[in-house]
Amino acid sequence: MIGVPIKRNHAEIGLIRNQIGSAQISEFGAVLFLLISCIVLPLLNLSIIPVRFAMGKSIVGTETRSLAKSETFSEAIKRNRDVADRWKTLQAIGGITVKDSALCLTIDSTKTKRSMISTAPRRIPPSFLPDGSESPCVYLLDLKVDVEISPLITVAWQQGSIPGLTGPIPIQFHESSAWENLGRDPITGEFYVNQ
Amino acid sequence: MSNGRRCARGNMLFLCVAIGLLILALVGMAFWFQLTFFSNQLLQDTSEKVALNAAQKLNENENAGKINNLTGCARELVFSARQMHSKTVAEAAFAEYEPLAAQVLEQSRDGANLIADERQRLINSSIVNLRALVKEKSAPFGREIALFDAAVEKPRIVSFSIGSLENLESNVIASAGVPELTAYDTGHQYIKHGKDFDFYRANDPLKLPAPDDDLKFELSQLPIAVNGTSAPLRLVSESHYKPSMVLVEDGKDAIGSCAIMPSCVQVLMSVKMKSKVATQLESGTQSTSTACTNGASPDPK
Repeated sequence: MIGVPIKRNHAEIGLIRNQIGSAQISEFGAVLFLLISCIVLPLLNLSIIPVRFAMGKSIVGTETRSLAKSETFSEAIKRNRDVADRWKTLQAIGGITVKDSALCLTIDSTKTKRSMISTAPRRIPPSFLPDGSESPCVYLLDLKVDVEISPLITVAWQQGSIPGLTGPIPIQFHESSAWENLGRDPITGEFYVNQ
Repeated sequence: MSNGRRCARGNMLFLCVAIGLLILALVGMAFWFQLTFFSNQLLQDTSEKVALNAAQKLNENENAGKINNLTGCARELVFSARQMHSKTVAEAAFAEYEPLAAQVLEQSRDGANLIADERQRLINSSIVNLRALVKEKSAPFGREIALFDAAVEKPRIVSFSIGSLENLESNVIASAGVPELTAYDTGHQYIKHGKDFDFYRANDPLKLPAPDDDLKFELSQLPIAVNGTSAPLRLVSESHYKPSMVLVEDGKDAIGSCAIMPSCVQVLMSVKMKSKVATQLESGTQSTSTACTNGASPDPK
């Protein structure tokens, strides 16, 4: 008889559906509980992370733009060091903890395609300055901020936590902005970008 | 039994509708957030563009730099003419040239006044140009952007001001041709000493010794060209900006005048986001941009 389709009339089919339907009454509560506890709540818990990520990225991007408008590179570094003030807005979102931030200047020569990174003032070699042999160059201020983004609800477990679900996810924001002040200081004769 | 069946089916329908609504609400919120970030970025870009456009007008064709240099030259001329006239008065050997020296002095003073008038005319003309630009940009521009149920209105200018940067001086190099004038200016701290040359301070009357102290030689701030490098048009940090005149306040034209040629502009723009479904739901963002005009060109060799 295997493989032979069973022919049922409409009344029989209706009866089977009714039998299945009757099972839903007792299972509905449990299904709802499982749906909420296993799918809806973890999803809600996770869904806050992209929101916080987007807001954090936007703030870091704005800060990078702001730092790139500094008069000198040393001023940008100094402003970045004032972490307490600088990342107040980022921490104000809630759920974002700033661990570390690093600022550097990436210089790409459009002529020779060579590039270099400067992490401190007065470190740019003369060839990479705006009047140097490598010029014209693109001066980009790079800001890297290491943060931990927490989900909506974090659970403190002794055995450790699942990043993103019960504990924070470590993330690095990396934003760049073109350095604005390419002029020269008449007092020192140096380029502001190298001061 | 039949009541139980109806109830079970109704519950499933309710559950499906509830989940559907929840998903719809989440998607709506996601779009709202996305549009908020997008509009903020758009606003920032737009305000920077407006600020740079306006700042460019402050030293168009390098007029501000040229009038500064002319003012510096006129000052030196008046000082030299006064010296010459004093010599013809003091020394009998040159007494017969006194009328000629007096004429030269008078003409140099007239020239200084003429340049001062021209400087004021340039300032007024620049402000008129800026007002025209602000008027053009004050009307909502760009295009409205809509995504799902949310729409971003066109950005508009809330306030617009002109001013200067702190620690920025003039583009006029102190001439070493008249040592007495250099000594006088150094004594009065009109000069700042640079590595390769000295230059005049800005926003200072730079008064000459009496009786020529009635003349004003105010130089405007402008980045000076150093070793052949001219400062490009750029965005600057708001923390270094000092406003001197407001052209637009709360979206309305403000009346005022400016005695010194500005070198910077600051613009505050805003954009509103509205929900098409829930019309009362709206939010807004603001962005401030400050720009400094391009510096003086290096002297032709």
